[in-house]
Amino acid sequence: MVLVLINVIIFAIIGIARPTAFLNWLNIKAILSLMSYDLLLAVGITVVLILRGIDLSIGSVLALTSVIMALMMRADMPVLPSLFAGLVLAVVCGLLNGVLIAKLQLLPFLVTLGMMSLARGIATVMTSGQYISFPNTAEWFIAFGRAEIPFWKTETMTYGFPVPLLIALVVVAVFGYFLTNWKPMRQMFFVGQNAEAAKLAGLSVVRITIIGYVICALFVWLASVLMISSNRIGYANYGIASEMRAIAAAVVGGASFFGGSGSIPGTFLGVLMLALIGNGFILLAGDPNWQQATTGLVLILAVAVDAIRTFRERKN
Amino acid sequence: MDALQIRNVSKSFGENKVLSDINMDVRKGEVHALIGENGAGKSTLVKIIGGIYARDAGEILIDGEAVDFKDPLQAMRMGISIVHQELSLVPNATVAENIYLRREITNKAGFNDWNKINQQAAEVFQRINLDVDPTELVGMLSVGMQQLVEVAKAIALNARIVIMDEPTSSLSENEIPDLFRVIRSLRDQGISIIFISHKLTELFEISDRITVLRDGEYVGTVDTAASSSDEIIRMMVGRHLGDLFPQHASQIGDVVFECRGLSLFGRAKDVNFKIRRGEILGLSGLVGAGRTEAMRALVNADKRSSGQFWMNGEEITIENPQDAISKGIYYVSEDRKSSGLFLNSSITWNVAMASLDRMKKALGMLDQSKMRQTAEGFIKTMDVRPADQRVNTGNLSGGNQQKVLLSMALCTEPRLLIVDEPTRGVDIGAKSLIHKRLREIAEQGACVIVISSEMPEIIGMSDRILVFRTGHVSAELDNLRGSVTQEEIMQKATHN
Repeated sequence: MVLVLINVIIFAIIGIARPTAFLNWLNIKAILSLMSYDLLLAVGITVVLILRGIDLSIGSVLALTSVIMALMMRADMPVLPSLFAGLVLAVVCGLLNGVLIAKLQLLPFLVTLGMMSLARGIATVMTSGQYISFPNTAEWFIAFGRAEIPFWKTETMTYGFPVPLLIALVVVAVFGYFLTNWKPMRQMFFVGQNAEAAKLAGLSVVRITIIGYVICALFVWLASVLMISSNRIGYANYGIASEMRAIAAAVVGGASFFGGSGSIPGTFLGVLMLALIGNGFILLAGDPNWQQATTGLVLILAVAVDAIRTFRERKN
Repeated sequence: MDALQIRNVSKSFGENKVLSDINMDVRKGEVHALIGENGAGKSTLVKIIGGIYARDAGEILIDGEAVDFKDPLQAMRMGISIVHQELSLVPNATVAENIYLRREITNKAGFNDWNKINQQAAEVFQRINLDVDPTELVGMLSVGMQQLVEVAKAIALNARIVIMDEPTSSLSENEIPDLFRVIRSLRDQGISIIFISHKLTELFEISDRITVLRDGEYVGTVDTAASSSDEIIRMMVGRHLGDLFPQHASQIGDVVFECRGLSLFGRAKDVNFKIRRGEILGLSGLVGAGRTEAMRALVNADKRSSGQFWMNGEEITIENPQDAISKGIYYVSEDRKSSGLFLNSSITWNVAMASLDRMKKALGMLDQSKMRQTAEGFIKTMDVRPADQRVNTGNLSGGNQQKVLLSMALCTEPRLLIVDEPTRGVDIGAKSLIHKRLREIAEQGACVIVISSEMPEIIGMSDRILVFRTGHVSAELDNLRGSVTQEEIMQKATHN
C-alpha cells in the first residue's frame, strides 16, 4: 500500500512540475516499454532473493544471450532455433550458478559475481565489442518487438499498447500466480526462510535452490529476446548495471536479503517506482546519469529498511 | 581467606528462575569441581562469576572483598579467567601472539616486539611446566594443546581463579594427563581452579572438593577424598516430585524398525536398536553423548558413515529427510526456532509444510482450504493457543510452538516418530499434553523415539531406555513398569 502511494506521489510531483513533457502518451509509453526489461529481470531476482540468494550475473547473461541469438540470426539461422540456442545458454548459466551455490555451498554473491564477469567477457570477445545486427531475419521477429496493439484512435494519433510490455506483464502475472499457489514454487519461500527446517520437513532444498536460479535465467532470456527484437541488434554491453536496478526494485517491493520474502506485485511497483524516478530526473534535471545515482540511493535505503524490518522480527 | 565466595546468588531469565540462593566457596590453591545435570545452572553460575551475566541478588567476594562486575573485562582484571568449551584462539596466529593478543608488547617505534613476546610466552609455559614452541601456529596444534594454550593465556593475565568449562570434552584419552598435570602445577602455585565436568571418574582424580547443583539450587559441597561416586550421583539426581506421566504401553507388538551399525563420523559409533509397534523408546545420556547426532544420521540430515535399516522386516534405504518421511520416519528437531519452525509463516503453513504432497489440487496447485482445515484440526487436538490458524508461529509461546512443530510431524502420519527434546522450555500444561499425545500415537500403533535430557521425562515416558555415552549405546534398560531409577541411568551415562 505504501508503495502504491509512493508511486502516486512521484507521479503527481513530476506531473505537476512538467505536465506537458511527462503526461503525454509518448513519454508514458517510453517509460513502460523500458520498464518491461527491468520488470522481467527484477522478477528473476525476486525468485533468488526469496531463496536467500542473489544473482549479480543477470545483466551479463542478458548480454551474452543477446549476442548469441543475434550472431546466429546474422548467420541466417532461422529465428526459432536461434532463440532456442539462447534459451539453452541461459539455462546453462542458471544451472551453473545454482549447482555451485546449492551443491557446493559456495557464496551466491561470489559465484554470480564471477559469472557476471565471465558472461560479459565471452560476449565481448565474440563480438569484439561491436553491435551485431541481423538484417536478413524473418520479418515477424523484427516487427513484434516494436509492435503495438491499438486501443484508442483520435484524429491526430493512435494510442497503442507495446507488445513486449504486454508479453512481460502477462508472463509476470501468470508466474506470480504460480509462485504463490504452485507447490514446487511456494516451497521456495520456506527454503529461503529456514533451510535447515525445510530440509528436516522433507523439502528438496538443493533441487529447489537450483531451480530458482534457472527460473531467474529464464526471465533473463525472455528479456533478452524482447530486447533484440525491439532494438534489432545484439550487443555485449546490454544490461550493464541492470542487476542494480533489479535488486533495488525487488527489495523496495518487499524482498529481503535474509530470504523468505518477496512478491511479484511488490516487485512490479518497485520497478515502476524506479522507472518514474529515472524519467523524472531526465525531465527535471536534464542529466540522465542521475538515474544511476538514484538507483544506488534507493537500493541503500531499501536495504536499510529491510535490515531494520528483519531486526525487529528477530527480536520478537 | 577463601579466594572466591559466592553468597546467596540468584538469577532469573524472564519468569524462568535458573539459580536460586547459590552458595559456594573456593579456597586458594584448590581444584573445585562443579557438577550437576544438564540445566542445573552450572554455566549460568560460571557466567555470573566471569561478569558475562549480572546477578539478580546475592554477593560475590574475591579475597574477602565484595565485587560487582559490569563486564567480563573487569572480572579478568580481578584475576578471573574462563576457559570456555569453544576455544577463542586465532588459528592463523602463533601461540605467543595468541597469548598476548590485544596486549602486544611493543618497541619504541610502536611495532610488535616479537622477541620479547616469544620470550615471555616461553616463560609462561615454563611456569605451567609445558613444552610448547611459542612460534608455532595455533592452528597446527591439537585441540588438547590449544586448550592448554588457552590456560596459558589465562596465566599470562595473572589469573588467580581459572574456570574450566568441560575442558576434557574435546580431548582424547592421552591428552587428559597433560591437562591434569598443568592443573596440578597451577594449584601448587596457589591458583584456584573451578573445574566443570560430567565425568565422575575425572572429578575424583583431579578435584579437592566437589559442589553439586540441581535445578538451579545448591545441593552441597563435599571433600572429594571423603566422598563416593554413589553419593555424588544421589546428590545430582535427588528426588524429583513425581510428575504425572501417562501409563506405559498397554501392548507391545512386533518389531517395526531396526537399525544396525549406525555411525556418524566422530559423533556416533555403531548404534544398534530395534523398536516395536506401540513402543516408546527413550534415548538418554548427557548432552553431546551422540543421541541427537545418531538420530540426525538416521534420517541422513547429517551424512552418516554407515548404517542399515529394516522396516517391517524389509531392508530399506534412507537417502535424506525427504526420503525418510516418505517411508514413514520423521525426525523432529530439538531446536524449534532454528531448525524446526518457519517463524515468519502462519500455523497453517507450518502444520502442512511436510505434507504438501497431500494438499494439492489439479495441476499441483496447493489446496489452501484443505491446508486450513488440516491446521484447524491440529489446533483443536493439540490445543494450540491462540486458536487462529493465521497467526505466525514466531508470535506463539514456546509451548504452543512445540505443539505446532509436533503437528507438522504428525500431519505426515509417521510410523516411526523421533522427537528430540519434545518439551524443552515448555510450560507444565503443554508438557503434559505433549506427553499424552505421544503416548496416544504409540497406542495407535506407531513407534516413538524420545530423546530427552530430563531424567524424569525419560523414565516417565519410555518403555525401554537406551543410554548413550561418548557416541555409543552403553546400556539398554527395560522400563515397561517404570522401574528404572535415575541413579541407574546416570551410572551408565557417566561411567566407563
